[in-house]
Amino acid sequence: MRRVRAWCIRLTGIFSGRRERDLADELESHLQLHIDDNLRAGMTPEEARRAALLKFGPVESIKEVYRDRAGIPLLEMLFRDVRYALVRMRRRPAFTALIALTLALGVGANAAMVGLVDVLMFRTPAHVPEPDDIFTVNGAGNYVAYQSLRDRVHSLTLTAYTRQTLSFGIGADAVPLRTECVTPEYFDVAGVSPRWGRPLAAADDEPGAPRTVVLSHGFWVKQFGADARVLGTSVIVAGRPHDVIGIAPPRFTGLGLGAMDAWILLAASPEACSFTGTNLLRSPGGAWLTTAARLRPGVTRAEAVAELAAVTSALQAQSKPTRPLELTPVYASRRLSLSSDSRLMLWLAGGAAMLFLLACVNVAGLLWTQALDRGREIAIRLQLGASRRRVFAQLTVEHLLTAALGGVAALLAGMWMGEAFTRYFPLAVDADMMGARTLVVVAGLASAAALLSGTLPAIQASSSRADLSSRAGQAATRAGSRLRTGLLSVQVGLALVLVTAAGLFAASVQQFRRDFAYDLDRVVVASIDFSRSSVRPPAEIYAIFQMLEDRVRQLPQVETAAVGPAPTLGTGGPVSVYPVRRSPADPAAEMNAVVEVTPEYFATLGLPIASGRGFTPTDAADATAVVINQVLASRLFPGEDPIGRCVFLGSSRCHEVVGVSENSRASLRAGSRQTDLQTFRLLTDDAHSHAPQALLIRTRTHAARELGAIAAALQGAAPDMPYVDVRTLEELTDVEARSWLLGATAFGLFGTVAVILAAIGIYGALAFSIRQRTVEIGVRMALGAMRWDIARLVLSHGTMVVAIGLGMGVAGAFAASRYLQSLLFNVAAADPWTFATAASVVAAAALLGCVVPAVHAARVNPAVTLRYD
Amino acid sequence: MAKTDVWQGTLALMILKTLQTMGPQHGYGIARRIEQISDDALTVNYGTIYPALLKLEQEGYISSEWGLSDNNRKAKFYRLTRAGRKHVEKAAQEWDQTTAILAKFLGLGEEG
Repeated sequence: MRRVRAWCIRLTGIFSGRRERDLADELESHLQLHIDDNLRAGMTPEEARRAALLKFGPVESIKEVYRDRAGIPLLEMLFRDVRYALVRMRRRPAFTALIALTLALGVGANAAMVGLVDVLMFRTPAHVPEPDDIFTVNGAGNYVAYQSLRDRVHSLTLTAYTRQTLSFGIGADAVPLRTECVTPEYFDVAGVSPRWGRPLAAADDEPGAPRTVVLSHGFWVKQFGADARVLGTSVIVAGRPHDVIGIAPPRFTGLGLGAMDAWILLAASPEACSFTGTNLLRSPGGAWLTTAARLRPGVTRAEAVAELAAVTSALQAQSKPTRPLELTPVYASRRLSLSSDSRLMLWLAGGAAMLFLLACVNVAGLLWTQALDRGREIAIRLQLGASRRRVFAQLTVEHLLTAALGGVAALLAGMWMGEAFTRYFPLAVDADMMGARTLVVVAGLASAAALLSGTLPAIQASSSRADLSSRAGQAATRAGSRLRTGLLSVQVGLALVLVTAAGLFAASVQQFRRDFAYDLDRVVVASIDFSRSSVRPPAEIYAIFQMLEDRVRQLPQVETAAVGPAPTLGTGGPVSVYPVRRSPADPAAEMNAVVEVTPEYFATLGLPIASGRGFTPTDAADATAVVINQVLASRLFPGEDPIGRCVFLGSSRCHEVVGVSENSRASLRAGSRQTDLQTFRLLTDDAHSHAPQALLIRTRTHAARELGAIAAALQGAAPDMPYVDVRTLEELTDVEARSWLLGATAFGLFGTVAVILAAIGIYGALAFSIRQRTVEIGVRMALGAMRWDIARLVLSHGTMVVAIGLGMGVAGAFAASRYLQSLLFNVAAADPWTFATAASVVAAAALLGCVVPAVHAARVNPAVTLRYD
Repeated sequence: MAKTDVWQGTLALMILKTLQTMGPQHGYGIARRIEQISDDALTVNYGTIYPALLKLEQEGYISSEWGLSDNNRKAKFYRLTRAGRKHVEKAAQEWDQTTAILAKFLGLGEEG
């Protein structure tokens, strides 16, 4: 107890300077009292003072003991070091900022990756208690299967759910609603109760009960400004009124990943909830739902598995078709469920780790030069009696402080990068990237970086001979110079690997975009899914699209417009798959997409007509004209002119080929064939079975700029419009190309940083060596060397460093790219063009780092230099 | 004599005992008194008393304030706190016991 009290007082003693003066006063008064006594005893004043001092003992050493006791020496030393380090950091703001920034980028990239990996693979969703008790029931993918299990299995609480984007509101105010259609047990299985109101309940599922909805916290804040009065009111979901009965807790994303807006009951809106737009509740086949289950209290997983097996065999005995059922943990299985994404993530994490390494090497180089620069100062301190350990500790404190600064900046950089990356991982959008794990990693990496990169320079500095001449330092410079040159080459090499990876991904994106013959940046796609709001005959929907097409054409921003298939929906919409034949008697050839479009389709997408003509309004009357694409033309009429020939689509009616279009993908899905056989026919209001789903709009300028105006015009076009999903064609293709875009963005970012760091590293090292060799250069010039000779001297050294680095980089990139191949799109992993471009970019930047110091060296004035030392 | 440990402990006790018998006293006075009581057998530097005083003050056994000495010199006076009074009694008792036991031991040695 007394000890604790004493420590507390000592701790506060560190911060008060008062003690020191108090002690001096007290000792002074002690001596006075003693001298007074001595005088009284008859001594002379000098004798009295001398005797008092003698009796007192060594004043300074007693003061020292007293001070040690007054405060906590180790801590005081630390504070002194920190204060000194702060002074030094403030005196060299550019240097400090450079190191902090380097660390921030190196550590920040890792923070972003850790955050992403954590969100996507490891963290359990917010608010879900005992997540390990929740399982996915594999093999029960439809409502019939769910019902039969629900009625028979007692060890599990079961729920079934599916995700759909529905319309919220109607007409001009409609917005998309990311909805989970669930059974009433859903919130029980999740173990979550709403923040306000109540969860969906079995009573809401009774026939005739009013439809109900639970809104997500995020949607409630965004749409209603967090107004609690919305509870109990009626809102329009998927075209029908629903009562708002609850608001979910913040960041609750349901059992899966990715932000959700609302939860409604599956059985109350079966059409809106099914992917086909029809009621699938009674259909015993198919797998359109996810069945999830939570262990009832006191039940083990093994017991649940045994009961499921018993139920399955009982059902099979009744000769009901039942598939074997399996339980997979919802959250533990996530680690494996992202195969392609997670592989890409691992690569990115590898890239981030490389960047970290590079940052460390760079900082080490910077600190090294700085330590050599400070050789004189350190030598003085050593000679004044500072121990090497003190000098080392002081330098380490300085490095740790800089690293802490870098760590804070790294958090900001990490947040920014994380945000940039999550755009490509839709499931991680809106997630909180800066979890506890990320913070721990940032702190750990930042201090690791400080120790990794700071230790060597600090050792070198503190072991420098206590010699006041700076020449002694130069010997040490040469000893370390080979290692430093090696580190510079490594930096160049690492930068090249990262830039090459970025190049390969960028080439994949390019290749993917080139596969579309469309003008991606000039087209807006407005998708309107009427099946999610109400059931209408296709002819009525066709009429609505015609109306919308006319309306949108009148906008000043719009060049032209057409109705056609929505590219993201693949073969959905007005696309049928038929064998196309030269004659009715032809044997069925390859399947081929027959796309129904309006005449302006080619002009809108910018799809060139290679020969013949596109559609004209006059074609619409008989609707027998077709346009086929080049690959189909060469398949059907090899070596012949296809214009004017007949093709047959399922009937014996002759469709006359009026034109041949260039090849393009029928669907945006990256996995689909590169070029599909395509036939275009006119969309007419008779005899088409598929309702159109998309309006294609060609803008006069860049599509992204006109998006808002077009969306507003369409959304307000009819009073009962469902939500109109308006996106640029570019955005839609980017969704499909997201893994390559992410690779290109992330590696591009890493690569850029790496190149800049490498250039700075080379610049710093050369500039420093020139400063060290100023005298030598001066002597050379005095002896007749030309400026060019001096510049060449510096350049040749720099060029050698760069050349070695490039060699290492090419080898490294080549080795790495073989494993990257499967993540690329139609690009060879050893693509020579990419390698050459990457190498020249890195070389250019690195050489720039050489040229500047070379110019400085050439400007050395021999007269000044020779007088200098 | 191995000064450090024993000295630290005994010096603290001597200071406390001095303050108990003499009342508030300054550092010089305490040092002087200890020397006199021990009949000058203990000749130590006066200065060493100050770290010991500081330690006792930090532990809360004594408190200090500036005042005037008999001959009108400014000096820092130390006084026992209540905790200090309790401590000195307890410590003195313990010391008595220890020395008694030790004395017996040493006596035994002489006899044998």
